[in-house]
Amino acid sequence: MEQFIISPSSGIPIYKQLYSQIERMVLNGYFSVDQRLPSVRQVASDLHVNPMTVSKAYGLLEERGYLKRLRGKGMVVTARDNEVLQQEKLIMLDEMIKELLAQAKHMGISGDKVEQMIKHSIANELNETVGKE
Amino acid sequence: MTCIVNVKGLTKSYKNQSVLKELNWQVEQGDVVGLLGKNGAGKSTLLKSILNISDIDSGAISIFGEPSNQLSSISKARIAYVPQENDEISWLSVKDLINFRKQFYSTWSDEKVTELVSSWEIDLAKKVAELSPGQVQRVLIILALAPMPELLVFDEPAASLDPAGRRDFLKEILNLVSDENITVIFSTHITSDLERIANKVAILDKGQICYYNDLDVTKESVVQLTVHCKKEQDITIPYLLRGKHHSQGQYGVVSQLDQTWLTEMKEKNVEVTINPMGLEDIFLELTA
Amino acid sequence: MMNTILLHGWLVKVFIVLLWVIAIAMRFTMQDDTREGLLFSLIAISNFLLYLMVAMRLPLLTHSNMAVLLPHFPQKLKQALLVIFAISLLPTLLVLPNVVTWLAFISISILATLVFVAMIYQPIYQIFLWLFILMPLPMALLDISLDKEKLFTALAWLLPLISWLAYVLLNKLAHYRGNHHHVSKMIAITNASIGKTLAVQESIPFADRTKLAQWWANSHYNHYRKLICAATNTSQGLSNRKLIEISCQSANSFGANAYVIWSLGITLLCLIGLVIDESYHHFFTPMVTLIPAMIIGTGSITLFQIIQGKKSYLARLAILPRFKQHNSFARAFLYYVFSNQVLLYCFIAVLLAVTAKVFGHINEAIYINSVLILLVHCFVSISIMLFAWRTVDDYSNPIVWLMIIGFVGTMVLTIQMVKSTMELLIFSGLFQVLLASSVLLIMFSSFRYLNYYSNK
Repeated sequence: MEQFIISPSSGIPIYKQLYSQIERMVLNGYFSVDQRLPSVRQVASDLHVNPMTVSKAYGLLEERGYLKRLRGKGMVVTARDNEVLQQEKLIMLDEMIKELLAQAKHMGISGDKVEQMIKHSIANELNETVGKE
Repeated sequence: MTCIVNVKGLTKSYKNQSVLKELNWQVEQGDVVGLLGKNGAGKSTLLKSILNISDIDSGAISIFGEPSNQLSSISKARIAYVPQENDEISWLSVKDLINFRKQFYSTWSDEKVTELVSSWEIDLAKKVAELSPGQVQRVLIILALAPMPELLVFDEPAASLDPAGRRDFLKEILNLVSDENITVIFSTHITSDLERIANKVAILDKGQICYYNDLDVTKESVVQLTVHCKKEQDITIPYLLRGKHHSQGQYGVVSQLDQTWLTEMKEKNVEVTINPMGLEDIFLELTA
Repeated sequence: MMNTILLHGWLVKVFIVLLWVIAIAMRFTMQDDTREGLLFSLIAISNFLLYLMVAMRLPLLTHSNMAVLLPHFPQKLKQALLVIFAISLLPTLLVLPNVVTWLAFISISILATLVFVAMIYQPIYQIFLWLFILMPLPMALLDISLDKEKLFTALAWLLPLISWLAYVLLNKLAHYRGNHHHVSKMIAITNASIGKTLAVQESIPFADRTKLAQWWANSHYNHYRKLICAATNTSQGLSNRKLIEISCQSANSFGANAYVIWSLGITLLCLIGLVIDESYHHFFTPMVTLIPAMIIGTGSITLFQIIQGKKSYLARLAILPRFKQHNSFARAFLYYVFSNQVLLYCFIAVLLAVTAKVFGHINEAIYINSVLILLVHCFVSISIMLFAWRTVDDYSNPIVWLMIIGFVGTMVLTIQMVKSTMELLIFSGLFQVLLASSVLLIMFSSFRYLNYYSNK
């Protein structure tokens, strides 16, 4: 049973935390297509939160196309168009990049330096040179 | 959504001091409302006034559509109340107390009682006076849940409970809340409990409900802002509760995020970082 | 189920049922109606006790948080009360001689119940009780004679009216939630076990007490404040005994205030006694016999509860360097308790002497006997108090009950003596044994108490 992790006292509403987590899990393939998600009741009971909150998260995911409601089965991961999927993954990464750059700016580190650091990390972590994709 | 509790113009003073002043409040069916307030703000008084346990000076209160001072017996059977202080007869045993309360209700879940008594390890033979405060609280909660009520009012229900006890209590409420017809109002100091199970938060301050909103919306609205700007840019933050200027810009807490203002700032190339706050901090900011 | 709550208290229930059984037995063994009056009094006392007991339990139900929220609560309460009242009338069916008396008794019962309930909820109605106690005197003074027959017939005829009044008030009661402040205090006191009644009274915050209670407490403590200030200013300081005395004070202590008030009260009573005609003196007998009981209650039992409540405090005091000399704390404590109680009992003896002189309800022989009995009672009380104070477990309940039974027994004995002519007790072998035992008992408990502290 997948265990989501939420922090009730965080400034981020619980439904948003759940949404982000499930979104990430869908995008990086932790949940496979057509996999059934645990029921609202189950999640609420495990996390000790209001079922309405879980409902809200699921609802939002359904709205954004990550999940669909199947009669009798509950919430199921949708099959997405690969391109759309890729697009969403890129959007997510893009946000992280923006955060990174904002932080660098605060620290007074130039964009060139950041680029240099990224290239260096990629060489070590991904074992690929930039430009292969 | 039907309005379960409707309070209009509730005024109450105690010993010549005004406690509640023209208070208005509506609680809808299915809501789990957390009532926050400083010590002495009058949370207990408010809850008791709503349930007609305390007299009020003026105002109109209705529960299930009936005036609260003329509730029918059917409506009374749908309401549960757990007070902050225990005024149950101290020489009654737990078993006697349960049997006593049972007499008044036509629907009473013996299974629920047995289930909770055994899982919370309550000794039925012990007298109320011999129980620890935590156990008394648990018994009162069992008594409240047994008639399967539709409106539950708790006054600091977890005050005497240890963390495990609080978790058990939350679990019971969450079980109930799965049924959308149940409405819960509870007052508490423990904001983390509220953040888990409430969907609405009400703040009682200076005799009125000064804030009443969806909990998620609250967390998304009442936030800390850091604006990176120069003084010359002369930027004012809308809906500011409290702010400070410093050399690198401004810092403030707002009660609402103005999207148009944010877009405006973006266009002006002014950087605004948003830091959300936990409920405890939100409460402190709103009642400062 | 409400009945269980309203009738809680097996001691009183047993007593009431006992009285009923005695009354029924008397009725069936009576040859003539010479003891009708006694029978009537018996049944009246038992029923009134029942009504008083139920009245005292009522606030627990009417003023609970849940009273407004429990469905059908007022109806169930009314039902329970009516059932109890109906059951209480069953013995009267067997005991009372004719229909008129029976109907009159129901009227009286209803009226008494109304007064009891009113008294509980609004203390001002206690005036009715005092009026009733004091009624015989003015009636005798004004030479009003009561024709019992006429009175009972009148009451029997008034029954419908009285019943209607009771019905109206019952409906009011079922919904009554007023005078919350006073009633909450009452509930706290009646809810407490007999050993803890003082603790409950002392837990009432100072600001919530009546102005009189506040003044009384302040003036009582002022005396000791002055003592402490005086001691700080001189080089002498306070003696061990005085120190312990100050530590054992409470707003409810029987201090100088109490002695003054009692003396004034008795003086007033005696003045009245001297002024009015001698034939009326017997009206005062019940009041005067109660005096020793009341003083023992407020001066002895209260002292016990005060010190019982301060056990841990005194234990902390006992280990201070001041008391490091072997047994010094225990000795000083015993000195305090003995001096306090002996003074109290001497005061009772003096009051008894004075009232006896004025009202002549006891002669010299009986007086000496009473004093001797008081002496025994004093020794035994102190012994059992010392026993309770010495143990870690809380024996306040049984000890207080023992003390109450003790002086009730003493009173009964005194009344018995008044009825019959008795020799001086000191010559009775049984009493000599009793006296000797009590002396031994007190010596034994004192000794044990001394050793209790020496082992620390």
